[in-house]
Amino acid sequence: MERFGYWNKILHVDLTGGTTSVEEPGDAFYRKYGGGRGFIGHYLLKHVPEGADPLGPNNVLVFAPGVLTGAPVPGAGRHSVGARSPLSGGFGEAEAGGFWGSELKRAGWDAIVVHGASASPVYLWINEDKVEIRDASHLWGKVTGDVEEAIHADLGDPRIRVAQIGPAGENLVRFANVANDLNEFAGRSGMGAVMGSKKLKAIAVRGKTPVRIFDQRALLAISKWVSNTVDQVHRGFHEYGTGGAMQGKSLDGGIPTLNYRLGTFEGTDKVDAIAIKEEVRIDMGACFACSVRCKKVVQIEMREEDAGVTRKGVKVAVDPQHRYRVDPKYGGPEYESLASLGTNLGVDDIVAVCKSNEICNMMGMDTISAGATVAWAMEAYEKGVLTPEDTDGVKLEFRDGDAVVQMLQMIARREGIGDLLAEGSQRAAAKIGQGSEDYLTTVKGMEMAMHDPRHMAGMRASYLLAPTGGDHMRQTGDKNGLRNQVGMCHFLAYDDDQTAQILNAVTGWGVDAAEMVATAHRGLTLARLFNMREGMTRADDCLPKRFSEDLPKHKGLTGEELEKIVTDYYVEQGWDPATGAPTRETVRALGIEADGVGLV
Amino acid sequence: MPHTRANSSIVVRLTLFADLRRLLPNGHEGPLTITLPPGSTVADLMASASVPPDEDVTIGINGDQGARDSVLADDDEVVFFSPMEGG
Repeated sequence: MERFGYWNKILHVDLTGGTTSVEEPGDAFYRKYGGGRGFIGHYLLKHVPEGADPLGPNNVLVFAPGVLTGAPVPGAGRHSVGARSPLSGGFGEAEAGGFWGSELKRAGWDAIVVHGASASPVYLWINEDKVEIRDASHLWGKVTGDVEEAIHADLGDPRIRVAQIGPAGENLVRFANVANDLNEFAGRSGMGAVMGSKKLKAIAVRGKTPVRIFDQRALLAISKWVSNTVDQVHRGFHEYGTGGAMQGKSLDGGIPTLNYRLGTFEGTDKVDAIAIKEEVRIDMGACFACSVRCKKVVQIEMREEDAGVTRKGVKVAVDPQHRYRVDPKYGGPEYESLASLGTNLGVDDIVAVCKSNEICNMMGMDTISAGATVAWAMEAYEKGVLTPEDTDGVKLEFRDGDAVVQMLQMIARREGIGDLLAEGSQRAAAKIGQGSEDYLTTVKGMEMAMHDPRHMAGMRASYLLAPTGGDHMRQTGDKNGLRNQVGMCHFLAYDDDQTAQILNAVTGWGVDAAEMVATAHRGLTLARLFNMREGMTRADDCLPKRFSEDLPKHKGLTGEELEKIVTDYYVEQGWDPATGAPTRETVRALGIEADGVGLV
Repeated sequence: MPHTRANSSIVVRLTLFADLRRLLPNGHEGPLTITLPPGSTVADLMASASVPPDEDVTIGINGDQGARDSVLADDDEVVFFSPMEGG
């Protein structure tokens, strides 16, 4: 049988034994799971023993592109990383763009499942079908930029794509991320800590074999539609990337401010994507095959004499206070980072925000959880629960961008109070108590993203029910649920028909709308089965106390309205309306009985 | 110093942000300068600027939040934001 969109090759790596093997799961596997969350759910249920330590050798770490990843069409440059989460204890998953996922596909692999743990630092070198586990002692402790450079030098090819952890992942910071291409991140749910616990510093990939496409002409038509309509359809993303609407959000009373206590921040226009474009941006970057080019690249120099003009004629910014240099190789802040390291901390200092973002990127930390954890600590400091003695003299005050820069470095290295904050805000609050639990903005142990559910009704279900916890990517919806599996960007404005056209052009499967919904439900149900196996219940599908409080312009959310969202969602997914447990009928209808053995 | 105009019209400046910039005329970077009859509202401005009436917009008038029925005055700075955000 001819195969399109996938190779029928899954790489398994056992770091304990230092061995690799190849699984050929068969064609039905790909159509059933799609990739991404589907693969992750399948492998976590299969290989992770119940109750396994997320940071122990029994956890598995899955790198999962989808069947679309690597196809030459805008948006298809994404992959997922999954494991049992060290933040939530449940289903962990994060998605990233860039080029690494498509490179893995071009090397002839559909996914990597990493088992066990190495005794000493290693990295994986995948050169087409050749796989090598190599010593990484010389890379351990290095920041991401230096690691990529060293791997390119080691292997003699600057076109190698690298997914890796920074020092934060090595130090098991519970919200450490997995970086790829230096400026893309599988950010959420602590996947970098899992990688660090396995002593796996990086996965370097080089692939030269294009993904096979069933109908090139149909796929090209979609690509042309995107590039011909950028001005009409994707102009906002193309010009600003994310964060171009922050002033509107602030006017609306919904921008996270001072740990989600206010919805309006007077300095929003100093740290939004418009300010970034006007003051510090030197370029826009893109992911694999994408003509939207929504990724900001910022550069700031400490002194005028170092600034100059870029090759494209853009004047490089200078820090007016001569404090920080921000290296363009680490990209630039997305909306989430502008809000989590800016408005929500009361910081209107664009240089400090960009520096904070760069530190998170080079040290390998999720900007959302890092910023939200600092916000929690700043409120604790404001209320006297944390004192200068606790913080090694750092004045953890809202509005102080320099304190944020300092604290992020301490967290990544687990220095001083950084060691406590590296555990994430929920564990830190449990440790220090004194009412600091009331300042939390976590769901299932993971810090919520920067969209206030009191302001944005559409975010309520996402935060309540995303299997990973406080996740904003509307992971619960069918449309985005599917995209998280097959490897498609949420920002591409494809409608359902176009998504089906893309899937069918790549795979030749002939999927229809009903099958796409079933695929999304399958991924979400696998994640739900895993969470319930690890002890989560309906009681975990709730928002923290903070969101029951009123904002100046928006009412707090009542338990009753949130419970209704939860129940309606359970019913929509075919789960028990009272408990949220996937029913036997649903598991059978989705064809995942083997994954759910003993769980339904 | 305010512009001197006949009482039969007001002039406002409209800036479209984020995703709404797709509604700008081809090749136009904005802001748009739009002449309206006195007493015009934001809804009238939307119609004049070809912003669909059902478009989800946040409205700012001279830095404060406005509404579709807000009455505009000469020299007003109006901004429209879409709720687009993300990752």
